[in-house]
This record gives sequence, C-alpha cells and structure tokens, in this order.
Amino acid sequence: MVEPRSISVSSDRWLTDSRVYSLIWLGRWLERADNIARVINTFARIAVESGADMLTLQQSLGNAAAIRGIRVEDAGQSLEMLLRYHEASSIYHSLHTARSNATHVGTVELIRAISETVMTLERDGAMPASPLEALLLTNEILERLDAVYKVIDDSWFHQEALSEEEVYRRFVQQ
Amino acid sequence: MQTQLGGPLAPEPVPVHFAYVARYEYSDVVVQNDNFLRLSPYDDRYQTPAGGGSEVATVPAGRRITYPDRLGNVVNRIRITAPHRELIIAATGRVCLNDHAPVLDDAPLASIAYGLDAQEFLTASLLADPETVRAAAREAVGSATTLLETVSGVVRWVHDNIRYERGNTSVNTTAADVLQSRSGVCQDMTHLGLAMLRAYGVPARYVSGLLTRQPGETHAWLEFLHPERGWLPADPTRGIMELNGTDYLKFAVGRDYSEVPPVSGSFVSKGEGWLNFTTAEVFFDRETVSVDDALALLEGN
Amino acid sequence: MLTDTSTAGHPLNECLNPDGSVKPVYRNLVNAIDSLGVPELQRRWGDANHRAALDAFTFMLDPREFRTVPTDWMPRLIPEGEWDVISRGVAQRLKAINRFLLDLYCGEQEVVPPDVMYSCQYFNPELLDYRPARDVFVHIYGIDLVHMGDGRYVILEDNLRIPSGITYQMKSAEIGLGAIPELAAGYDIIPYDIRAAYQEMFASLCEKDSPVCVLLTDSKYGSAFFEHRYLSELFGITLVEGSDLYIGANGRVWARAMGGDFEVDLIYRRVEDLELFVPGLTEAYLDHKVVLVNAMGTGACDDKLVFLWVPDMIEHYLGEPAILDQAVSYDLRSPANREYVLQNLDSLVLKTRQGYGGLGVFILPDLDKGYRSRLAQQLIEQPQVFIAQETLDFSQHLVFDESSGEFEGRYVDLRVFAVQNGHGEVTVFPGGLTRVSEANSRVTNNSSGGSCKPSWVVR
Repeated sequence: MVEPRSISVSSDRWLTDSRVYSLIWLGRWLERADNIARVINTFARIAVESGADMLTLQQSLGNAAAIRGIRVEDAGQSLEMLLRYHEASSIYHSLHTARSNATHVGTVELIRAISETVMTLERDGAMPASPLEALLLTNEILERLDAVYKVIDDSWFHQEALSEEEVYRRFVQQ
Repeated sequence: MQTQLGGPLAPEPVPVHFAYVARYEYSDVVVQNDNFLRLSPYDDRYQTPAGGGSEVATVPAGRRITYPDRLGNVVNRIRITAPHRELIIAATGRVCLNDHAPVLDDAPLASIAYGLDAQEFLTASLLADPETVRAAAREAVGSATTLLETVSGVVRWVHDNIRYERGNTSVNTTAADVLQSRSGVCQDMTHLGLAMLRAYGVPARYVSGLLTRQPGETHAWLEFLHPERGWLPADPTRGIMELNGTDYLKFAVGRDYSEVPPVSGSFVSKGEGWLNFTTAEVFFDRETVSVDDALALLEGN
Repeated sequence: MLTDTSTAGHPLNECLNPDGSVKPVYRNLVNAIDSLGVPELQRRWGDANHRAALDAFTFMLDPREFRTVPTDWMPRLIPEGEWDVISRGVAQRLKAINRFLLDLYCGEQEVVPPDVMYSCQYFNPELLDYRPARDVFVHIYGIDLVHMGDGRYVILEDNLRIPSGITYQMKSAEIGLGAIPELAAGYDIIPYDIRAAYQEMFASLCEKDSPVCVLLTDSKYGSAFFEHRYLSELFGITLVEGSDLYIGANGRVWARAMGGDFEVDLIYRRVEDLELFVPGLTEAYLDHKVVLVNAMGTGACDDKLVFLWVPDMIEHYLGEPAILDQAVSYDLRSPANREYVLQNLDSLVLKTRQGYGGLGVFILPDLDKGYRSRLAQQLIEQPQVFIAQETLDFSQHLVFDESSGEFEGRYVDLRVFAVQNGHGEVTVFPGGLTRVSEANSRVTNNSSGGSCKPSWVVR
C-alpha cells in the first residue's frame, strides 16, 4: 500500500504577475462599464424628470459623433453604440473584456456575477426605446455591478493585503 | 526476372576523404533547431564507406541520432536547443570509390517488365512529374526503342537544350518550370531528366552527392533502373552516361531533391533564417580528415 | 415524440433500433423526455444554455466573440458492461505506449521501423537516455473511439501531448443534470473524482512532500482557457502564463508573484513549444529540476503513422492481444498499399502524419471529385506525408433542435480520458466526452465546429 500524499494547494496564495496584470485590467474595464452606465443613467433620469423624449437625451450627450470611434452616420444610434455595440466604448464590450480578465483572476462566482450583468444587454428588446427604459436598464446594470463588487469584496480580494504600490510596480514591469 | 547486381569493376578502388560545411544565419535567436543531414557516404557497389572519419557535427552542438531511411540513405538527425543566431553544420567522411564497369546489356524498353517496387520511381514526385514533360520527352527520345538509347537521348537532350545558369531557380523549381525557362543548375537538369525518363516508363531516381574533382558545392545526377544491372548512373548536367566512378561521391538517393536534401529541418524562432555560406572539399592524398578540417573551410568566408 | 422522428433511419443509432423502437438502456431516458414534452424541454434547454453562459463555459475560437460550448443536453448512455471493455482497453494501451516510450528514449525499441520512428517530427533526440520521474511519460491520455454497434468500439486516434477536453466531459454532465434532473431518473450513474486522481498523480511524481504545482496556459484568450481555469481551480494549483515563469540562479523553475517569487516543482503544461514560453525550461527539465505533465517526447506516439504499430507494442510489452481494435490503416511507404489506396480512394480516409484537432483529415467519400483527385495527386507525389484508413460507418445519436422541437441524427465519437500516476496506476474516467458532428458530416471535432454531449456510464 502506497502512502497517499498531497500537493500544496495554493491558488489564492500565489498572485502571479500575469494575474496582477489581469486584475488591473479587470478593474479598469469594470470601471469603464460603470462610468458609461452612470452617465447614461443620469441623463436618462433628467430626461424622465423633465418629461422630455429620447432626442433630448441624445442632445444632452452632446455631439455624439465626437465620441471617439463613433461614426457620424451612427450618431442616431449613439445610445445603442454606448450600451452595446461599440468595441471599446460600450458597456457590453467593457463587461465582456472584464469577464475575460475575471476568468484569469476570479472565482466562478465572480464570472457568474459579470455574466449576469452582460446578459442584461443580450436580452431580446434590451435596447431602450424611451428615456424611462434607458433609466430602468442602467439602473439594473448598476445593481448588477454592485453585486459584482460584493463578490470581489467577499471572496479572496479583501483577504490579500494588496499594497497599491506593489500592484503598480508589477504592472509597470509588465 | 533475376536481378543480378554488379559486374566486372575497375580493379583499383580509390580512397578519398571529403569535408562539407554550411553556415546558417538567423535574424533572431533560435531556441530549437532540428535538422536531418544526408551527408554520409551511400553504401553500394560503386563506393564503400570506410569507417573511422565519418562524422557530422554542429556548432552549437546538439543531440544526434543516426538511422537508415527506407532507401538506405544514412540520416543524421541533430536537435539543438542551445540558443543561437548562427548554426554551422560540418560533415566529413572517408570512402573508397570504384570505377564503373561499362554497361553493355541493352534491351528493348517494351520487353522490360518492372516490378511493383519500381512504381514509385515511375510516377510523379513533387518536383518531377512525367505528365508535364511528355512532348519534350518525345523529342528527346526520338526513334529510340531500347533502354540505353532512351536514357542516352534524354541525357543528351537535357544537356544540349538546358542552359546551365545559377540564380534563376530554387529548391522548389519543378521539371516543368525548367522546361519552360530552359535554364537551371544540376538539380534542375536532373529533375527534368527524371521526369522525361518516367514519361517513357524508365524508373529513375535522384542522386545527391559531390563531384570529387570539382567539389565546392553539392552535385546532383540521376540513376535509372536496369532490369539486370540494377540502378545505373547518368549525369544530365554533363550530358554523359558512362560516368567515371571515381569522379562521383554519392550521399543519398530519393524520388527527387525534396526527399533527400543534404540538410533539411525546422527551427523555432521569431526571426527568419538563411544559408550564409556552404562549401565542400575532396582530398585524394590525406590520411585523415576531421571536423576541424571542415570548419577550416569557413576561414575567410 | 422522440420516437416519432424519422431519425431511426440510420442503422447504427445509439438510442433507437432500425425499426424505431427504443433500445432497452434508453427506455427510462426516452420516457422522461416524452413526459417533459417539447415546450418544457425547450425551456430546460434554454436554462442549461443560460447556466453554461453564466459560467463562461466556452470554447472560443475568436477571443472577441463569446461562444459557449455548443452542447446537446440529452445524455449518451454507456452500459457498464460496454464501459468495462473500453476501460480495460484504454488502460492496456496507455501502459503499452508508456513502456514503448521508455524503450524508445532509454533503451532499444524494436517495434517501429527506424525510418518511421526517427523521422517523426515529435521524436526528440535530446531526450535520449533521459528517464522522466517515476518512468511515466504519459500522465494524461485522451483516446478517440467510435462505436460500431453492439458494444464494439474502434480506436481512431491517440492524444498524448496535451490531450484536452476532460472539463467538457465533467461540465456538460454537471450543467445537464442541474437543469434537467428528471433525465437521471432510474439510472445509477457511475461517479468519478478527477480531483483526487490528478492530485494523487501530481504528488506521486515529486520527491518532496506538498510539491508546488502550476498549470501553464498559453493565454487567457486561448480557445481552451475555460479548461485551464477550471482545472487549476479544481485542483487548487496556480494558473500561470509563460511570462510568470523563469529559471532561477539555482537552475530551478520560479514563478514571479506578489509577496515573493516561489519555486515550482511540477508544471502541468497545456502548451506545446515550452521553450518559447519559458526559455531554459528544457535544460531545467533535463536536469530533473522540474517535473512536466505530460512528459516531453510523448508526441512520438501521436504520429498517425506510428499509430499503426501500437497493437504490436501491446503484444510486445504486455504479451497479450489488444482489447480494443483500431481503424484499419495503411502505411503508404509500401508500394502495394499505395496501389490499393489509389484504387480505393472513394472509400478511404486520408490523414496527414502530423495533423491534430481534425486538421489534415480528409474523408474522401465526402469530398467532391476535383478535390479528391487533387489529393490523389498529392498522395502520389508525397506518400510519406499521409496514412490512409478505412472509412467507418460508426454510430449516430439524437440531438434536440431547440427551434423546431425535433430530434435529429448526428454522428458521434467518444474521447475517453485516463491518468497514470507515478505508481503506474491507471484511472480511466467513466463516460468520456461525446463529440457530435455537424449535420451531414462525420468530422466530430470542437476545433472543426462540432458540439458535445454529456456521457454517462450507467448500471
């Protein structure tokens, strides 16, 4: 009979450089999604409270064509672009990329929480047709994002005393 | 049909030594370099490899395994993992060359039935497809009906119609390309000869080796299958059939160049690689030859 | 409803007899499907797909496009008796191949002709005389089988370098059972514990107690990253990229990490060109400073031509006949075989010696005439590049079309996974990964666009 032996079970203890890199990008992409959602949410709230329609929302956003990468002919769909379709400046793509980074650093709970947020934008009829729908959608996205942050707080993240200095030192090396 | 190999050979075998060297350069560091070398003397009735002095080496050094391939060529496979941006391959050997006996037995081509083993030397190979040269082959062979007349017609036609010219062809040039451009080097002329012979039902194979009295670079010629005498040589580049056996040092045989290049292989690198320099030397008067002699050929180059 | 479909037409359906009646082992399953009914089945399929998306259960060919593993949630059932033969056959083959590799690198092998063996791209002369830890070359083995009916399985291919897919076996079963538990009613599904088997395998290969093990991935954007992440989390080992590892001054492998770099004892590697990912790793390995799973050099037996001699390896090393048959294959170095293959192109499969992942596989009867004759020409010009295999008419299974609510027949294969630990013990994980072809195709490979199916071994 061979003596059973074990391996060193260690995944949380070792925060390797490449995971630190993914962690930083996870944070950056989540923050980007959060920022875009808050901007849309605020303007949608103003529009709803003033009784204005979607046109006002778009005007409120300013010159949509000036937003990096959005073509002038897409300006009429600027809201959809910001929510769903733009490769770098939409909530959807920010969340998608955040999830890729989460698969590298996070637990399955974190991946699920981000997936839940992504799915709010994948539903049939997810694209809002009125300021009220835009408000409700971004409210939901922000709630889901809060759930994401809670998973981060509750899981391994807060157990590790991360020195900001150390994180950035590693980041610069990459 | 009884295949009888060998016949009366010239009485005096000539011992020679050879040395070969090649240098490859790379634009970025190479972390793995896996090479197949076909630079050892072939063992047949025209030449007998003599032990002690047959050696291959690389700089940087790698791990080697030596094995015979299915056609009897000696292959040295060397895998190098020391990081490098330059690779030197050196080979040396000693071999006794016998003169070729004249071939007198001719036979009508129509009367010869080659066996199944000869089939692969009759069909298309990557660089020598008989279908692509049929018309030219008819012109070369003319009214000849016997084996030796056919081979002679092809060898002479290639020599007379293809201009020896460097730089226009590559290792990927096919017999059809050569026919088109009417120019090439020994390897190209050999491929055209092979394709033409195959078109006439004469099994033919490619030979890679050295011209002992004009070393410097590797040479190529061909062999055709004689139903009674086995594989016999012919050299389309020089336009001759009756070779002086002591002029030729044979490394390997294959269906065409692509199967038996002196050096082939692959490397792992972010950059590209190219042959920077290669040469070979043959010594009729030396007692020994070592890898150092091969490396010395690099001096000044 | 399932039995109403016209899919019983194929003579080798796993689930249905040619007359449309249900095979005995499938009766409970078919009853469960029938009593759920189409609308409920569609809802459950949606639920299972949703769970797959939530967990990012992906096989992404393009990292910009989120793509879950296409899965048909109706399980394939393998009766325990059939499984027993598969399991013994796989273990036997794994042991013979391992013995052969040991002889190839550290002794004298006489089974495979030298020009075949040493011309193989994945034969590595550098490993001559190197004995891997505990003499194990093949720690993880994936073998592709097809079912010819009546419990007879035939081997198509061995996967010995970085066999992938065990996660799909586990995860598809887990999600399917979670979303549609009714399908398991009346079945005793044989369980397995890959966590324990892998951890035991890792530990058995290392000299010291509690060795530090890592899983080396190519990239978080690689197609199989889901598997890399899932397994590293399951085994409790750190997931590393090539850039995390380096060779330290003591010649050992180190990982860069916050709070201090650490030494690595074992790398479960999921990349092929190790030296490109971690310069110097080969030397550290040859110095016995680190254990690699799978060992270097196993690819020599992944070669499709070397495959032809595996039954001889079994006879030679184990002194017994092979338990499982393998597809009849032709060595095209032989003139007689070349002649035969050229005469019978319309009934054969051509494979390139070094292909993998469904690449370089040509099912000639399924190709148009022009393509076939181009391949024939290539075969004449470079016979050494190919092998030929007899085309097999293997089994089909049923897959549910969510939109139409109907079941249809598709070809299926079975990839079975096994591990071998440092004590020479082999564990074959019951079930395997059933891969489903696309409609009108016999190629069942995820890299080629096919889907998968949970597979249960049932008592």
